[in-house]
Amino acid sequence: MKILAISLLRLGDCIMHGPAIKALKQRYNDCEVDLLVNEQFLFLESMMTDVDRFIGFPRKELQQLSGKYESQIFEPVIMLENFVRNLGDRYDIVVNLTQNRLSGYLCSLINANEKIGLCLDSDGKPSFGNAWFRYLNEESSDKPLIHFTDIFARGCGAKKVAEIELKRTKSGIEEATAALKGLSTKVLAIQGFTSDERKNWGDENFAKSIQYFLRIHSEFSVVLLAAPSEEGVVRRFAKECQSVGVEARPIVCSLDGALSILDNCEILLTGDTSIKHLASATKCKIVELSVGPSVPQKTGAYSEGAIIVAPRMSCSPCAHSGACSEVKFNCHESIPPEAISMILSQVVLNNRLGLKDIANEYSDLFRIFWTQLSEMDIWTLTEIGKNGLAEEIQQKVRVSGLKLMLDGSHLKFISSCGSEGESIERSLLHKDEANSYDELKSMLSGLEDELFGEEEILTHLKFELGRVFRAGFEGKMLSEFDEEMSLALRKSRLLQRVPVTSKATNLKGTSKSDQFLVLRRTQNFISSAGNLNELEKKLVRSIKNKVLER
Amino acid sequence: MVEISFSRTEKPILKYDGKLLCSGRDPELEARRWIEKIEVRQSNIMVIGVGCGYHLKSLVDRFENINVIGIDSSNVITGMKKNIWKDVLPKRIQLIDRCELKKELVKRNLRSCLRHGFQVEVFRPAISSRLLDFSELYEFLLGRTEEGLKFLLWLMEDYGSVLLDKSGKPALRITKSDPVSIVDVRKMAKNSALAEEKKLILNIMGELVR
Repeated sequence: MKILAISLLRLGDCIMHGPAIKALKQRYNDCEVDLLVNEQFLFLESMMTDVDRFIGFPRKELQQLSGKYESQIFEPVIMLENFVRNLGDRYDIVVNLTQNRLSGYLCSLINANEKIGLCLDSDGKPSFGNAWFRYLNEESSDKPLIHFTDIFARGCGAKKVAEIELKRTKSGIEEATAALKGLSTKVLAIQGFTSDERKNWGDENFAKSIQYFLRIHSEFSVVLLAAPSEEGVVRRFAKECQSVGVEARPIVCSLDGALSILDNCEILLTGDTSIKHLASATKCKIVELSVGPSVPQKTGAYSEGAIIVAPRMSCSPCAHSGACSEVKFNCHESIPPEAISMILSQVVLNNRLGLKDIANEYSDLFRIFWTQLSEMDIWTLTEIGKNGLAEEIQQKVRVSGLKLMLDGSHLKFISSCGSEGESIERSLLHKDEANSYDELKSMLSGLEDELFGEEEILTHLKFELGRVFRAGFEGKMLSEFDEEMSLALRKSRLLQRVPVTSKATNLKGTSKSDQFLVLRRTQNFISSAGNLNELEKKLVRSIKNKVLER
Repeated sequence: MVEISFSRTEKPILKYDGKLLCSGRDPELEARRWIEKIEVRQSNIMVIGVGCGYHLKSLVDRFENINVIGIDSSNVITGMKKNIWKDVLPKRIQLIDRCELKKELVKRNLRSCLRHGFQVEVFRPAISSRLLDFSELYEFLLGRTEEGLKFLLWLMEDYGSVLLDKSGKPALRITKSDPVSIVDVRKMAKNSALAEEKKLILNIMGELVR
């Protein structure tokens, strides 16, 4: 069997797609997986596992030809046609791991028996292949629950979490050996720049945090990592470090070189960069600064025990495209360098309680998150800080409930809520916070009550919707239902996070057939919310039972 | 008026209205240098400016799998053929009088070789004194004018059969002063009966230029 996976975003995204490709390999025995990437990332061939062949998509060339006045207007069209023709009919399955319009159209264009992921027909009508990819499309909240890597991997059939794996190359190892020569065995790596200035915390901030960190941990050497295109920037950064008395070695290296360097580093401080995803494939500890438009819940470091620091600001994270709405980058300023140096120090010392103290001290400025990968078989992000237990339970129940629903557990006669609840209980980072099991039990009961309250709202909505259907969409009844629905959407936290785009709105004034369609969608929406509610209740009960067993 | 002369390297060269159509020092070196700047992307290359022909000959000699179509005014073509190539046209080279390009027979001949695409290049030394004369032709061949777009759509039957109306005009009126772009073709295709596959290709192009 031959599979083509499409990964046409940036470097970091390609690396994040590793677990999805692994899932394909495990799901379809003896399959061959080709990976379509933007041509400039073909060098990943030497690093990514599970891919049999890399194919370069000539995006830059196509864009240049399309935008160049001197090129004949059909030249890029023919080039693209030839490219697609060359892909031929050799694939049984095409998997779109990119989720944008371009890849959606391309996915439709390539001949294959089965398509997984976003496919768009020429009118832009989508199909998704399964619930995970549909969720990816419909998830629009500012507090997403599931990491992109998990969505893609589960969408490709993964049942267990898989870490990001990358191959080391001989040249990368040699590059690392030469670059780290003469440094102490303990190395702090910094990669502070991305192409989006909103994501760059700033040279001065980085330099100061290193300065403070080295006062306590003088045994560390510091390296500043940069790609060849960033050489000028990293030299400037090294000078900034020098100006505060910090000797930091700038290292301009290839990606495989960077991977081997990270293998030899104890800790990495970085922003939302591809280096962060590389570090996820090593034992190097990660401290990620999630400023600007970075959404840690979607693209945070996909590893166990990484620390993510995110500003506590109303505008954070900002929109993916567009400029900062403020006069200056307030989110950068809300994270003081001394706090980062303390966080680095606590991470080096493996002191989670110390991190909790820092989180509490700076709770008005930023939040500290801890990532977990293995316990619940899905990546989770837990905020460290006071009163964290109730929030952590709630968060993990939500993630788990959604995961079970998207996997179709609610349709199975025996769901896996019992074992899932046990996993949640095992994974609780703030378990020690509860003074007694009674306290923990009462927290769970509170959550259960909340879910019963949600159930009442849903039952009421179902009843009202049934009346509207029975009355043949009678005008007054429609208006009443519209109001009920709007009220429920404001009141119910569950309804707010069910990933469906079309909710019952604008019922008035539309034709009967349109009203029917909207109401059917609303019915599905309420039904999804009901399934989610049911799963979450089961999970809470399972955690409670586990607690009672003690 | 085309006159013959010789370069310093003793190669026959042409003058048009008293101006040289290629280098008077070393036309072959000039041709080689011109080729270095060409990025061959298609198997058919239309070259505006036939000049003394050295650059066309070098192009087919350098790239094995390409066909070259030289376009110029008829007297330059005749002069060049007679005086330099001695009426023996090198293989894979066609010469077309620019005035004949819009003639049905010439167009039909071109269709079979250009339907799989072509790129347009300009040999400036040959047309430097006639730049204005050729600028319209250049835009036409690139498809940047309504007439040019019509010509290209006509060449590419799969698109043209749907996107040209009965009178042979593009189905979308191009009224703006901006040059025609692929976005205009995409607009034309939107509600047309164009094959789904072609529409998808145009949609991808639209996404790439967004």
